[in-house]
Amino acid sequence: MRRFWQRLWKKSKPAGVALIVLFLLYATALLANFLSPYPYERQFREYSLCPPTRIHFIDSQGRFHLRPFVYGITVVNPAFKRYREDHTRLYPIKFFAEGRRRILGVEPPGKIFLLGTDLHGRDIFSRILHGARISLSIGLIGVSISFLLGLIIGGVSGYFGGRLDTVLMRLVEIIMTFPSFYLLLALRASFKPNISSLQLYLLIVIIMSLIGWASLARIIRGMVLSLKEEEFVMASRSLGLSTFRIITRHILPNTFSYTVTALTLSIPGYILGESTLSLLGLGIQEPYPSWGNMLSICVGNLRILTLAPWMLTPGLCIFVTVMCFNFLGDGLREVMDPRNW
Amino acid sequence: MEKTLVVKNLALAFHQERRPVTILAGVEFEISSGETLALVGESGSGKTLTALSIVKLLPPQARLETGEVRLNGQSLTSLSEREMENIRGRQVGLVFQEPSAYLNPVFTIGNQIEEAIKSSLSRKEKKERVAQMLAEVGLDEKHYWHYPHQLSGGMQQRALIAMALINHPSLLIADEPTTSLDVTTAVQIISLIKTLIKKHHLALLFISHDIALAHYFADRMAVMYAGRLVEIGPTRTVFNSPRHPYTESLIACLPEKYKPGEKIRAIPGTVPDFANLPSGCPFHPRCHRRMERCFREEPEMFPVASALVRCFLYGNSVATEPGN
Amino acid sequence: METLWQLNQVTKVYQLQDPFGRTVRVEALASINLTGHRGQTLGLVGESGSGKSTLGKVLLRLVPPTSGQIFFRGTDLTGLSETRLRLWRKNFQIVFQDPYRSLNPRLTAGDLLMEGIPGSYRERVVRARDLLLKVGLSREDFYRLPHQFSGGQRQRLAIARALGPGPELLVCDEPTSNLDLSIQAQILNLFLELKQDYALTYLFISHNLKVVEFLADRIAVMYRGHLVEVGPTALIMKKACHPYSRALVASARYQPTRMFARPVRAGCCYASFCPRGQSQCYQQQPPLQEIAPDHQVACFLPEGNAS
Repeated sequence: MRRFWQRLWKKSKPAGVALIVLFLLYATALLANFLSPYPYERQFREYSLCPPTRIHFIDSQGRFHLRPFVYGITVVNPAFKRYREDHTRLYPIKFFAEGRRRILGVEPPGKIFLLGTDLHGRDIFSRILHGARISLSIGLIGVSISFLLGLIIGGVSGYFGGRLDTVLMRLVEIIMTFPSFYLLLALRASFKPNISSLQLYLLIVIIMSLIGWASLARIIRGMVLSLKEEEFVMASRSLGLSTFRIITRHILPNTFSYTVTALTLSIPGYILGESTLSLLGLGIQEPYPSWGNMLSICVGNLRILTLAPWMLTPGLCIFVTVMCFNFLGDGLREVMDPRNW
Repeated sequence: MEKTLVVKNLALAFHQERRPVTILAGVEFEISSGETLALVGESGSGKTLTALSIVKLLPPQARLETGEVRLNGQSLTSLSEREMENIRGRQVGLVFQEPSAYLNPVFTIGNQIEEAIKSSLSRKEKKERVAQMLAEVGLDEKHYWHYPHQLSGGMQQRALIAMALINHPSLLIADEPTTSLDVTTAVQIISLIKTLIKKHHLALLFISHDIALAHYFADRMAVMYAGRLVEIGPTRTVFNSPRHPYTESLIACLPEKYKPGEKIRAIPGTVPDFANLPSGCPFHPRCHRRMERCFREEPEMFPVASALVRCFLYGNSVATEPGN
Repeated sequence: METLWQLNQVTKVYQLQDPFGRTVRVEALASINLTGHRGQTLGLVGESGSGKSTLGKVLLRLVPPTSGQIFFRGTDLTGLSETRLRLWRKNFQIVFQDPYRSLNPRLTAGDLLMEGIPGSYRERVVRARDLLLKVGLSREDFYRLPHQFSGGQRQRLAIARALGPGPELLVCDEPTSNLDLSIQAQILNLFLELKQDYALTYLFISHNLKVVEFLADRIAVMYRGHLVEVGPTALIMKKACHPYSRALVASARYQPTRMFARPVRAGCCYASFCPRGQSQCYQQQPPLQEIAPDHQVACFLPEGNAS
């Protein structure tokens, strides 16, 4: 692990930074319950579209407080969503303010909305943390499934060749000719609209990875086909090694510098795919948040955009994640090449 | 009379990452017209870079530190890239190892040779000249219309020789022209080059890793090791009575010098990496006649008989008694 | 002399597709009969595309023959399944030309060596370390990756790997062609040493007649898929009978041979270039015939008189 990190850092600083950022993102997703001030579905009806709460150290009298605090929020005009800080009420930020389970918070009736609230008065920061669970895991799970399928089917097809290869590759071609996005829509439509969020989540991942493996399998097959003719494979056969060992030790590892990179670069596709589905109302359903469905509310609603630009923060999260994966992919390409070790 | 090619005190370094790495140091030789000089060395000895420095076709990180190259009395060192383009082809012809890599697969052989003609001639004159050249290198007139893949490796190399000589240059540089060919073909190409040299009074710089081939082929021979010329002189002198321990050991490595069952007197170790050359004489770690001062100082070229040898055994006689 | 391996009427035909989808038959080996004697070195020479490398691979059944039989210690390997064959493989190994391609770049020297050695983990480590020293590498090299070695060292590693299972027959497919003269000399010496220490039988494939002359007891000359001459080294080098063998020997001494080029479609494989062709040569391929004890030539008009 340490050697891997050293190599990555030596080869590409952006990839190193990207790895750190991704690590932090995944950590926050894992600790979403603990880090978020409110449950994701908690609605503060009276505070809908409230801007991000400002955190203060110095109060209106000019006194300094060591512990940062927030002011109470007064509704100025509920129709136009105007809010003002109430300088008379002062709520210090505390650890474990709302019970034992949440690290961050203020004593009720004070409110803390680090990234503002949405239409229903839900805390966007808390929702982003929970939404990260969906958006960040969907890529990993999807990629694992398509990686496994692609590696096995591509490897077998390439190594054994013959009729098996012909059949498998025709299958791959059929899958690749599907207009994947419409397939996704059609499959989604064929299920009941009221299935649970978890089921839906799994359904989306599986559909997307069942489409995704085909192109990977095709490329791996091509690589295996040429690696099979390499002299080191011939030499291993001559040593009398088993077919299983030759495939797993001598052929597949030599496809990794390509596959790992390709996989890293395909993770953003899953994240974006999920958000596209959400945009069409077919993704993860409210009230459960994902970055995609949080964004989908903004689209086509210019009034919200001008009134509450903080609603776009999930988009920023998607952007950062996708960029990080791209940088990481580029770095991994270098690191996976044994000539750079 | 001025020699065709004069190379003086050539030094070349690669500038990458941290510090410059010296590749060539003090490379000096001359070739007169009608003469063949073989530049012999193992891979990584700098022989190809020496050739490329003459025509200034160096990789971007390489820089000439010192030295002068004179071709027919004209100094090439200060010429601009535009002027060099005129020299290459017109005054210097080049032939390389892998003929297929230097022929464009989508044009006919005749087309490509014709394109190499630098003087302004009418189409008909050009065609005649190409036909004449094809005949000279032993190709048929019909090959004018052939594409490179329709020719065998040997014929491709013939076409490249035709291309190199079409402007009647005074110097031909041939960098391992037969290494990728089959032995029977290789010998034919060599004898073809030999005939053409005689006929056109060319000066030939022949670069090869094969010291036996160089012996058969060249008038004079220069042996390179780690970017230095270690021995230069008439072929017969160098090959039959090598003075430098490296030349001597290299010739001893030829398997045809041994009877069945005999072991070859091989040189221990490997060719050093330019980035960390040994101190003193770069050959001393592999040398069987090294002396104490070889660890510290690098020898210069000392004249021995009709050759020049870069070894303390033959000069600065203060410490000539062989050590361990 | 005891026979270790034998090829009997072995043919290898590749069916290739040309750009227009037509099938082209390429005969890489044309009914080859060849015998290897135990403890001897047989040199196989020929130019690129002569099928000499295919012969080596077919002998080890790394490439299946189209027809014919391969005998090793009297057993016919042709009929064996890949699984049965794996039990035989420890007896014959191969060293390839390009040590940059014959070693998996992702495994350390130790891993590469231990793969081919049978026994418990401890035994394999011990034997792998011994082999490293045997081929002139050092103990520390155990943990190094192929790209950290020089070309000559890699070839040493490839040789050590081939010795791992303890073979009797070692096929060397142009093992020194990519190496410099000084390194080639070291590797040739190594082959000599190993032959003595392990009582190896070599099939040494090379285009370089001088290298083959140095190592081989017998030489077999191949041309376009056909064996044209087989005989003791000294005989081939001095009094070869086939015109192609003569051309090869002359070329090795840098004497150019006059090459003819007639468009001949049938007959002897060398007929298009042969200086001595006559009508019979353009009709059928001459069979490989014994013209003297241990000297076979495939020519209707063998040059000189061998015996």
